[in-house]
Amino acid sequence: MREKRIPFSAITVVLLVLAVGLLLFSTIGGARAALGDPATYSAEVSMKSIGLVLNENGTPIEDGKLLSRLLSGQEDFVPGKSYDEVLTVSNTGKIDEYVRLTIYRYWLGENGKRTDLDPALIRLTLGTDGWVEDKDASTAERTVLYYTKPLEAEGDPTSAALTAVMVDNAVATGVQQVRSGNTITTIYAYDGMQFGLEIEVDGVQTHNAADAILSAWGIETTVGADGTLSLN
Amino acid sequence: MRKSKIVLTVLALVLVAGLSISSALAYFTAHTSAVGTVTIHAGTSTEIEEPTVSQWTKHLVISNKGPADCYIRARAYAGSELELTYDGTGWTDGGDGWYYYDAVVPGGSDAEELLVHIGNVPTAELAEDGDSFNVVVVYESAQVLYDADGNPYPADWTQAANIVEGGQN
Repeated sequence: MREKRIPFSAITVVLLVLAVGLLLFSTIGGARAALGDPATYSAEVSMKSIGLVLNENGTPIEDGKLLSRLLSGQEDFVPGKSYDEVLTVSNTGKIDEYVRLTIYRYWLGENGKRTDLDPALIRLTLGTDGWVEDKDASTAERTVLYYTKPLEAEGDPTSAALTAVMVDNAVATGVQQVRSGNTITTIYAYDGMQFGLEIEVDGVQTHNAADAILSAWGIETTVGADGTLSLN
Repeated sequence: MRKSKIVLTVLALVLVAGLSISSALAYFTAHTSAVGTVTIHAGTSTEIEEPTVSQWTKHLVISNKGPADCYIRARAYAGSELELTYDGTGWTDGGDGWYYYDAVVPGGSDAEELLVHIGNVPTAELAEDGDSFNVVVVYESAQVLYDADGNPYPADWTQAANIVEGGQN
């Protein structure tokens, strides 16, 4: 008669079950009962939240669309003229935050982005009050700005990061020559092109700000005693 | 038996490791974005029409066919024996042989008619039917450029084309 071997000893299984049970029940906190007056106590706890919104000429942008209110009626955009484009940021959360704003500018043609056209001809008038530009991170297409003061929850919006946009008159004389055999056709390089503006806004908590900014944005900063942010 | 011991050992290690996992921390962050585009127009596109020729007078109409505003100037050339005089509302002699249209011609609009009178036509030309001579009209246009306040600059007829390297996608 063959002896049937039990794969696990009974003692081992019991110990395993006890260990699992101890682990699970260790999460249960102790219960206490108050003796005496059965009064009702209540407390409100609000969850911390962080949020922000980009404002264009005083109007919060809810649909992600920029420049939709740049021109009035049937007005055409003309090179050389400076158009008001005031961008600010408001804190919509429950905690204070530091803010970074990145501006991208570029030219678009029928088939997408035109890297052969000069984005510097899209002139931006940046705000100077409270904003500092990270020149190491900025390029011909990208401008990176940091708001140096904490943006208070339920407080005033930032000062203007951008105040105006203009396309340089040089677009009126920029031509390209297209050769086809013995024929050279001269065309206005910027005619019918679109200039694009793209804005990204980031916020990070003020608590442990230097560590939070390093973790979230990858840059080293110094926060002064008054909360002023400076780039290292 | 050996296999069962291995299984139990692994389970025990997993349980112990589970106890040592601490809570994770994350910083509060927020993000929003917006994007927009605007179309611009550069350069000019003009055409000249001559709807009528009467009594040795050319009637010229220069049209701005493009979307952008422009300035216009014109002049005519003919044989030295002929005398050309100009007339037209809004046209001014620049003293350099050109006649300048005083106002900005908006996109899609026409300048006022420019009349070019041909004088001192030789009698022989008048007498022989079928003979002809040439009067060539040349016109130029320049896009209106604006300052930061949206005021137009005076026409700059010396601006040269700036060749941009590269081509269309």
